[in-house]
Amino acid sequence: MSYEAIENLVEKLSCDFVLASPEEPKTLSGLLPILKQIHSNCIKHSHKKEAKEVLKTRKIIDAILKNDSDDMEQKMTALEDSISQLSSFLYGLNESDQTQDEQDEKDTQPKEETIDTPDFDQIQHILNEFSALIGTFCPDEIPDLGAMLIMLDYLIEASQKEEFAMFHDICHVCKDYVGNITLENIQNTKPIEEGLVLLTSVLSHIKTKEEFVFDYSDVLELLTAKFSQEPPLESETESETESETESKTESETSQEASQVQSEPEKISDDDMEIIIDFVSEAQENLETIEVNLIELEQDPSNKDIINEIFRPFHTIKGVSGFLALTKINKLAHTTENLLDAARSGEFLINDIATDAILESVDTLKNLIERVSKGAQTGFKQVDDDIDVEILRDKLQKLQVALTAGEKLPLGEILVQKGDITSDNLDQALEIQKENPDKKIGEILVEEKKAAPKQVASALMDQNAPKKQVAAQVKVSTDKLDDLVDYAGELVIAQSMLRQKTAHDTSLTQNVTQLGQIVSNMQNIAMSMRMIPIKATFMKMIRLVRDLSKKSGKEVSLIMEGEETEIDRNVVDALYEPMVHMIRNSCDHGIEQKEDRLENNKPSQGTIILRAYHKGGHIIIEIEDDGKGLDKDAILEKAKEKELLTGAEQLTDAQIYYLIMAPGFSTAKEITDVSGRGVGMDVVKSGIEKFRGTLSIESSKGKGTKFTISLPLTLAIIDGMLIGVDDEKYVIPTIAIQKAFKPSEDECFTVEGKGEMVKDRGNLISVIRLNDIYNSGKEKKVIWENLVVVVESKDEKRALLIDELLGKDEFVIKNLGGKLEDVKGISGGAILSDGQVGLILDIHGIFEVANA
Amino acid sequence: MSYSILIVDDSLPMRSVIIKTFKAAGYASAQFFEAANGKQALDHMKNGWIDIVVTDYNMPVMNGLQFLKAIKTQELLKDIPIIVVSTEGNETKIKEFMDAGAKAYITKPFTPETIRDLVTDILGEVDYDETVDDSNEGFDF
Repeated sequence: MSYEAIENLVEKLSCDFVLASPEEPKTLSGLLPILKQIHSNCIKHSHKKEAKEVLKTRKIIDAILKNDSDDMEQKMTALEDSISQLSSFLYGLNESDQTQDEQDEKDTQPKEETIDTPDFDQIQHILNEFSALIGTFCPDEIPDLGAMLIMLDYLIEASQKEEFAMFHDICHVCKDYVGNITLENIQNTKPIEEGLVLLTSVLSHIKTKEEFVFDYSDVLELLTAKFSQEPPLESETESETESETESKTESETSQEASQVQSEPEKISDDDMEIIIDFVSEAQENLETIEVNLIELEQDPSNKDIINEIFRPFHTIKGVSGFLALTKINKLAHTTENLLDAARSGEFLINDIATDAILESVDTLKNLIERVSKGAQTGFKQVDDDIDVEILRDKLQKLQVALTAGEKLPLGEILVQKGDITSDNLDQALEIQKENPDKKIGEILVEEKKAAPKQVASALMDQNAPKKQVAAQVKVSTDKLDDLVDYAGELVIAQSMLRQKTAHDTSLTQNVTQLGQIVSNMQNIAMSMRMIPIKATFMKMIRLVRDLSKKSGKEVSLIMEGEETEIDRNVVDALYEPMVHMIRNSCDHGIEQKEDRLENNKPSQGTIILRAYHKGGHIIIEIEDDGKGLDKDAILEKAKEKELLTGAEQLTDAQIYYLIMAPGFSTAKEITDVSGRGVGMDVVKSGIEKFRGTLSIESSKGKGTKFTISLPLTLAIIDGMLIGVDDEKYVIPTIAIQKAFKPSEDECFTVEGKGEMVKDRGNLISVIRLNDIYNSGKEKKVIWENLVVVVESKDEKRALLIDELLGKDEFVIKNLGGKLEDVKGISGGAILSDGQVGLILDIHGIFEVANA
Repeated sequence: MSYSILIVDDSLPMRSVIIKTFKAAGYASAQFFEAANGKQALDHMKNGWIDIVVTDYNMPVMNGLQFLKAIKTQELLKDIPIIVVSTEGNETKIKEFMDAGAKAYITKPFTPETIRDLVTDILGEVDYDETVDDSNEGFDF
């Protein structure tokens, strides 16, 4: 019955399809039962392939029925194609099966034909993969090269048939080229791309059985030419820069370079531009190397710093190679090697290595100075007098010595172990001088100074494997950020769950446990992003040293709490402000030596950098024992700048705060260090961007203390949830002083200051949150509601609210897009009931209220 | 693509329970369709791809037996396997169903294991090339 049944069904399907239209879903969905029937029949006769085809058709119908796309026409055509293909498939099935029945299924002819088609598909598929690989390819990616070779091998294999001959040949050429990329470090992938295009078009011609008549010899030439002939050996530098894409062996480069050096040569215009860029970049790079080396001395195992040093050398080496600056190239290369070995953990950089690297930096500086001069005069400068070979030799030896490890001589070990005396060792060494072939151990045993066992054990000690550092994994900060984000989300989800299950005692225990796990996880996620602040402090040492030299003052820097850990993202926020403030302290704060002595202060000024944790915040204090801020000068300047009318009553903190106004400087003269009036406002905004605060304490003649307070992490805020009308807001806990319900006689209205409440004798202005955010319908009576006293920058205000809803940790979400700059709001948080609560920026609110 | 399963029962909770059990039996990725009586079910079957039907006996408009007989008159639908859900101790009714062409019957309450055995038995290895997730064992009523 079966084939007839299938045939009938297919016929019905085709007929019904003709009547079907997407406007009437029923006509289409009516096709589904037919398909289902066909499918079961196919399965029954185990025609898996055909059954799959049926499923494909079903999918198309499903998609049309879902009506989720507007290209109905296209879908219908696809369906039509699919159905007609299906019918041809199934009719064919019928026939082939009949012949199969007749011929007892040993018919190989049709089978071979069916192999041919997938062959094409396969080759096409590989070609696609190959082109994807080329698209993202970078010549240094050895694994990619390997993958390419494998693909090409496959293509060569698959195209052995006669009709593929041309394809086959091109594949071979391509493979050779890829091989050459690997071996000779050729950077140019253009020829292989051309080859790929050629292959694709040849394949399509074979497929349609058309003859490929185009001339493709140019592509083949491109693929073969590059490595069959040597790169042109012209001494002109022009040809060199042009052939950037080609690789050159070092000897060739140096040969050319020596020719270049023999007489002053004019620098071509093309080169000139590159050289000028190179010089400025290299000089900058060398500066950073110096700074980083100092850091590395403190923390020799820090791979990041080694990397920071390694990279500039690498860049210098790379560019100088193109510019035929042989000496620079060689020296940078050798230094790079040394650093590379250190980077891969073969040894730790010690002072000898640091000195050698510094020497290399100095020599490079000299060499680059020459190049710079050359660029100015337009002719290459001779640098024969600067010898790099000795230094290179030194660096190489150092690398070998360090890599070999600090293997103590066997004798030393024995002496240390107390097995022999140093006199014994000296004697043995004397004997060794006469018999250089003998090992020291042998001599000692022969002389009966040490037992063979002792020597053996000393040998074991000598070759004992070095202690392994705990295995570490490098993770990109992006991933860590994501982890912290998700941990934050988990906290929210967990607190939602807690709220929902609060009434269900059977779950309380589980939820509490979950809560603990979540908070542990969050802490760990956070701690992964924490790094000690030491690195940032270290950078200040050099700054202070330089500044004190420049200004002729004696300044010492004392650091406290440099092990304090801080979120990686916050570190970046700290650097610039710290530099500014230390400059200020050195330049304005600390007095000249004579002045200090006159005021009975030690001649040497002191700056103290202090870091510690305080309630979810990291506090950085920069304290100097200088002359302190001059209140009168600040006030005068403020009046001059029309920041003040003169009538205000300001607290000390408010006066000091004035120096953070844009363009404010009391310095009488501008030095090259500071005093231009740009600075403190930048510091302030820089810190505020990271939700930090900056406060200043100062006493005249005794010194100034800047205190930066930054949240430990930028992801979470400790806050109080409050309700105003239907809105919920989060007030950062750190800003809250107290909350209370004032009585009627504690509320006043003061001329020029508006509504105020009295708290312990102080009058505090009231801010009505519903006025600011336009949520209020009616005017509320203060003494019927709550006020929260908040403080920002020594300024207190009372926020009028409806209710206090609780204290919690909130994961800060950026409001994003256009809402980012809304004054008075620093972000949003998803509350445990799923609603969004806005996080108030207290200072911003004060500003809004003042406006 | 996963199985499409049509559940026919006039009680919404019962339909949910059946679906839940199917899911627990490892057919979590299956598509479930619901119908409240035989007539709705028939309409649905005419306009969709259904691999298996699970039907109750007692339903308004068109009861299980009428529904089953109606299916058997439809050329396109008559091969779709029907499982009848019945209560215990109703042997005469079960016989009626089996005579009318039901593929199998199950008695309430049933376990996911019963369902799985039954469906594998009926549909065999037709799983549309998708691995069936049967990790949720041991769900019981």
